[in-house]
Amino acid sequence: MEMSNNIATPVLPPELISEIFLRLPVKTLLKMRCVSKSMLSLISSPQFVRTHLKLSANNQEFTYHKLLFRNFEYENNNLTFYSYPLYPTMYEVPQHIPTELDDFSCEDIFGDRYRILGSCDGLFCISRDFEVLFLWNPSTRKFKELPPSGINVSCRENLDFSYGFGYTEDQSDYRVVEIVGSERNICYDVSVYSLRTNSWKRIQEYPNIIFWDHCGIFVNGKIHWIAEDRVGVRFISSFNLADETFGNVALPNLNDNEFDWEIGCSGSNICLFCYEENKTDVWVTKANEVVESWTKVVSIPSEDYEVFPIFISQNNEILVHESRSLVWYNSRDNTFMHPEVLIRCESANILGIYIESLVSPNFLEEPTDQ
Amino acid sequence: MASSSSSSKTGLKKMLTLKSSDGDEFELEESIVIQCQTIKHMVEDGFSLIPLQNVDTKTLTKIIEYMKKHAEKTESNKEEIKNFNKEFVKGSFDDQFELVSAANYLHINGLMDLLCQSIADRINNKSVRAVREIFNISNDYTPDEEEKVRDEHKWAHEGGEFDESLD
Repeated sequence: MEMSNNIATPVLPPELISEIFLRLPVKTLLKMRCVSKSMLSLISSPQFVRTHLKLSANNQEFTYHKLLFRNFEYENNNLTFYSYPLYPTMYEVPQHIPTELDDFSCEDIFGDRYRILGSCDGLFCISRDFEVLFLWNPSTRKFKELPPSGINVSCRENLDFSYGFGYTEDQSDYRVVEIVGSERNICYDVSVYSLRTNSWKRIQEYPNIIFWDHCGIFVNGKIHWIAEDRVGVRFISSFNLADETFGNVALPNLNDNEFDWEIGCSGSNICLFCYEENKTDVWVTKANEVVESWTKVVSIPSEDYEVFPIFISQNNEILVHESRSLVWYNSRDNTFMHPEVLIRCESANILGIYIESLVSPNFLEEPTDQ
Repeated sequence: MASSSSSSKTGLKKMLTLKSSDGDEFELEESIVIQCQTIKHMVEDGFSLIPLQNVDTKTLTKIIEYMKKHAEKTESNKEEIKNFNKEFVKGSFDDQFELVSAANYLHINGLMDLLCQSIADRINNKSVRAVREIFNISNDYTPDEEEKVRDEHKWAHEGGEFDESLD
């Protein structure tokens, strides 16, 4: 390294280097781990990882929001995952080439062995045949196989499983919830996995209800599933990851309870998608508020196909997928915009949306220099 | 202590003087300068001559330029401010580093954010070697150690040429 004798090179203090590096994308930060040992420990520190995640999540241009796709080639049984940035679909900027994420490329005879069970902070919880669970960060391409939950694998076929995955701020811990239903689907066993301890534990108190959703939605420290009690009333069951207790959220009051429902999230609000013959209504509530606080924000017209919401922007523009394409629906002027996306968009191929993050699926990952 | 709100009531513009580390003095309206949290606190404590020992004249001139422009911010001139910001961050890395240190010392949050993001954007595609030189960080890895760290995320080092230039 050559240093000029006259000009003093300003060497920024570590806190300012950190401020600058917090604004870099994940791929660049992974590359910059090679700069020096102190840069490696900065980029690996839990505090840096969390602050970087918060900045990325709050980015107003959605620069770090990515769509996760899968592509299954029947000819050679090959399953591949792809990521695609959200912003080119919003602003009609030139097309992007999808990024191939090669970790899970695998032989997969039916193309449905791997299922996404939940996502949070850029991490996905994935199952293989509902037997083996993984945590996967598509941005760092790291994954971890979880230890078995303790359910006897040989009798799994007669059981029904629901899952949830989320983060508890209080304990700074990522957790997976596994709910086991009997043949009649009534819940009879609940276990929680903690990334911090890398172990499962049984939950003693749980409601005797039917969980309709296989995958819960994580919002504000709680996982939410659509459930039904023993007399057939549907509601949202929630599980608080911090104190490990169940609670209820009532559905909005509607004349007819026979709709097809699905839960989603929009920022820190719970959303409810209600599918009808010619429209999809989108309801939003602040987490844990009373029934009256549900508001219908959008009603998306759909002629002869169903639309499935993926993402809701602050001004209630909604990204949906319908039959074979992605569509932005703008409720203010009732318009549809079809972004060009260079990837097959069949509904089974769109797995969800995530924020790029450095969060490691291995909790105790130490910097390599130690 | 004098309240900063009294001046607006009388219609008189309250003036403050900023003094750079080189001893140069700049007289400015209080309403412009209070974008800067550090100075705002000093004003609240009754100071009207504010010595800035960590900020030289060259850097202070740029910072005043920024504060003046951003004090004009309204709903209708967003595009103008955006273009100003774009021009403002065009200097050399050394200039940007001087500015970011001063913005940090003075607690001007908007400017901190603007500078950190623009520096980040400029180094985004730089090679590891270029980043070491730009920030004057010495490589304390042995070749073996560095290769090991690189191998953990090999793909992040691929995908096109990285920029080796230092500007």
